[in-house]
Amino acid sequence: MKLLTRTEEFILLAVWKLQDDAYSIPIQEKLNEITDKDWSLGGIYMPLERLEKRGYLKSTLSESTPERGGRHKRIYSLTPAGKEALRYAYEVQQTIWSGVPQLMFGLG
Amino acid sequence: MKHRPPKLAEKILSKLQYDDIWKTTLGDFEEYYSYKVNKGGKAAANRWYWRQVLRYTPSKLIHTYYWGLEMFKNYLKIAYRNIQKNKSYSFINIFGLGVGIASFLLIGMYIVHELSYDSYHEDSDRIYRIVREAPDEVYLGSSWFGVNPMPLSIAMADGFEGVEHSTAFNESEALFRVGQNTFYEYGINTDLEFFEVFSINWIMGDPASAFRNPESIIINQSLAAKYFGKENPMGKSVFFNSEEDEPIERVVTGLIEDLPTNTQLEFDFIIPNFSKDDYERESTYWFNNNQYSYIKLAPGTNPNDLVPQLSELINPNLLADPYYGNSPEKLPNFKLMPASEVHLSSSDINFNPGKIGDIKYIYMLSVIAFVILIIACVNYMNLATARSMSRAKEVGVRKVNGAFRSNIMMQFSAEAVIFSSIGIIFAFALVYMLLPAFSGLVDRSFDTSIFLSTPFWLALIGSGLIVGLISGSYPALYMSGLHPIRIFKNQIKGGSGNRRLRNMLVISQFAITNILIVSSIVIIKQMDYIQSRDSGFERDQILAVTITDPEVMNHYAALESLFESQSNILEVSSARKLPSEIRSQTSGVSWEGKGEDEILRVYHDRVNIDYVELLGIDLIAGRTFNHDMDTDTSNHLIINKTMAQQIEWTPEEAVGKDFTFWRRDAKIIGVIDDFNFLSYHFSMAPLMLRYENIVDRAELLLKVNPQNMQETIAFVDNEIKKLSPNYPVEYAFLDDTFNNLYQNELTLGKILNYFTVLALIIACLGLFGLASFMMEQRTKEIGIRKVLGANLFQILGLLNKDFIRLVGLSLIISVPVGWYVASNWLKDFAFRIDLGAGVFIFSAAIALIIALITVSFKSVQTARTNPVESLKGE
Repeated sequence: MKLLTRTEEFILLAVWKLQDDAYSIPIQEKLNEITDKDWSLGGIYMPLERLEKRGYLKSTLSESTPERGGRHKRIYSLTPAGKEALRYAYEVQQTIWSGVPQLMFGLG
Repeated sequence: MKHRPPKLAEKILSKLQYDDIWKTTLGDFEEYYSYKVNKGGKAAANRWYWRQVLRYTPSKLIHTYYWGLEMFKNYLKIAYRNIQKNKSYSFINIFGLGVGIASFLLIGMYIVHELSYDSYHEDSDRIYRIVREAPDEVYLGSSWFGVNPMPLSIAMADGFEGVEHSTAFNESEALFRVGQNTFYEYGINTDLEFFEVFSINWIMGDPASAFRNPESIIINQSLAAKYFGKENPMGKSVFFNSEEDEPIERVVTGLIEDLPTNTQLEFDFIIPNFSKDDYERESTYWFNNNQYSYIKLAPGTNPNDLVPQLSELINPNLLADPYYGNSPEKLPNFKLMPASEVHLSSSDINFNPGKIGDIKYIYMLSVIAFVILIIACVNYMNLATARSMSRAKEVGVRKVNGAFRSNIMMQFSAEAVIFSSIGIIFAFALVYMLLPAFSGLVDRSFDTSIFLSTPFWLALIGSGLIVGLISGSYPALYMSGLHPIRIFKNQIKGGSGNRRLRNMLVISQFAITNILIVSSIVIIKQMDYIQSRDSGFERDQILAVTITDPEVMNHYAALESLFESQSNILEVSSARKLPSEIRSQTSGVSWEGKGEDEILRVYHDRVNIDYVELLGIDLIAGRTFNHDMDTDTSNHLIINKTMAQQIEWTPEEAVGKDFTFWRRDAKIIGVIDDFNFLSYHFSMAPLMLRYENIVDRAELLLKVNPQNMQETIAFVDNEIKKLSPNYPVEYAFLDDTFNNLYQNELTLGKILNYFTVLALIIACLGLFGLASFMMEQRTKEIGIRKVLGANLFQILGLLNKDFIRLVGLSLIISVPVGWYVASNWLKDFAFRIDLGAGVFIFSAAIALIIALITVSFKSVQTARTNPVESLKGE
């Protein structure tokens, strides 16, 4: 299985956490919040699209809302393959970090 | 709170939408915009939004153009392959479109030239010609005249309200002599105002100084080169001998550029009119209408407002004479005609400066130009849709792969434009090659400088593009409307769905072509009729020598007997005018028993002994002017039959009657049969021939032996030169001068013939192409028929039947239109052919036979195909 990039991992996690509200703007806000950086909208469109193509995400159009000028939202949700990819990423993370002394960062 | 992004930016972004994702993206942007406003203020938010516009625009543009270009490359490639694959089809289309465009351009050039007459003058929109209607005069079928009395122009030049300048001019013909060079030259005499009204380009001198001296002359470059070569002509003298004035030496005081070809002004020299012997009288006498009058209006003057003032100016002067005083209804009416319209709108006006065209022929030629273009377009449409079968799968595959209807339309339009672009190149080559021949045909001088003009290229490329788009329109609509599923299920038979329309196109093509054929035949027949009809006088083998030196006529008797003693000269006579050019008319005639109000307009000419005999005119009663009569008694008259009839005399009664013309007493000695001294446009009119010794200018008429013609001419030339060494001698044959009367018709006939042949060729090529494709689809059917025992002729009949039916139908449609057009044209002739069924049967036969031959080229080939060949694939 292909390993997720860090951005992809964050985005998938954000989508999972946001649940029914997982569309571009909240995802962007979530990423800003997590990483404490300003993410541009364009910066998340491309990974979202890629993830959807790879089958980790699926999207549906929701009802339109007035603050969007009457336009639809595209709500994303995780597919089982997406969850599997996240699980794999977590496992790799665990494995690679295991044995690194906690004191190295002075977190003990 | 809800914030809306800048309208324009939003609009641009929404236009950039190129896929599905974009729909929601735009919503995202708007939501984020609101967030930005709340966070960083409106200005920052706007900046951000605009930045998005800038970021997405380039990619969209690249997307569109890159893929648009890729697709266009594909269309080009497919078009190229199709041209290669079907060479004959491509040839037919390109040839047809090329010839169509070339014809259109050539005729267009001619029309543009004809319409451009006299619009080059400065303020040409303010230059008008005064034309006059004389209610009591009818000359050559019209009572409108282009000539007016000189005092009218003089009065208008003198502070007349609404008129800036007013000029009068009149033609002058004169014998020039400079050293040994002696020629007749044509020019005008006019006033200084002439140069204010018309734009004349001066090379040396200026109007005021050129006209200071009455014995001056202004010449153009051609004359300067002819008489003075490369020398400076200014101050040189010219011996100038005109018919109406005493010969004088004139000094060149001005050199002007040759006039352009598109002007009604035709002259090589200008002399001041005040230098003429009769100027004193001419400039004050209101009853001599011999001047072309032109005015330049003050800016903003309505020409119609001027008309009543013109009458007010002239009427008091005319009413002083009892002729008008007793019957004011004879006073003239005036009309102002824009100078730029004179060339084409003067065919009903008597006396015009320069060559006069006919707006009717311009309309006819425009129609022909468009018709040929349309026939070529129709060819393309027909062939393209007939081949829809072979292209249908391509369209199907494109559609399945996601092509929109607009893409397919684009493809087929582009293909047609590619064809017409190649056609343009072909058309240019054609125009280039045919230009000299065409110039000769229409008697105008077009040269290659036209290829340097922008309008020519615009017209070439523009007509090519428009033709391409029109040609491609129907194939594009039709092909793009095909349904992919039906294509792949083979439910589309070779152009079955559009057969009706295609048939209509073929019918209209051939109907138009046939109308052209009918018109050509009618013109040919009428011209043939004009030349072969007995005009009442003989024109063959009669040499006319124009005598301009009075010295020759002084020795006429001796010359006559000398010529008559020659074996190659059968008869000798002379007249003031050629028998086909008698145009002098008078109503100053009376006879015993003439009614008070009776007006008889009589054409008249002065003729010499043996005139009637030489021309072979039939004598009905009395006798002719011959050697037996007492030549001392002048004022002997011969009248024609029509004149006797109009006076209500029988020919026998007429002989011996006293007759008065111009208050001179005369006697009618003979009545001759009518002959066509006017052109065939006019019916027979009264004619009076007077016997009179002609002393000035004359036409010497010699009936000559057709053998040894060269020697005879050389002999005559030599004898006349002996008497008048300083005058040029001009010859013509009577039949040529007779034909000159129909120059406009002859030209139209020639143009029409050529373009009819072209139209026929294009239409036949189309028919051939169409037949080829239709028959290819029937090869299997033919194979089966042959296997079952059909013979060649049965199959030929089968194959040709459809096409012949179409062409036959088109012929029927063309008859009423053709009849209308032809009879309208013939209406202008008093002597004309009957528009019988023969013309239509003949033209129909031509069209049918040519169509049959065309189709048979293909059908014979198809019918002779070995069935084994056509069926082995099954």
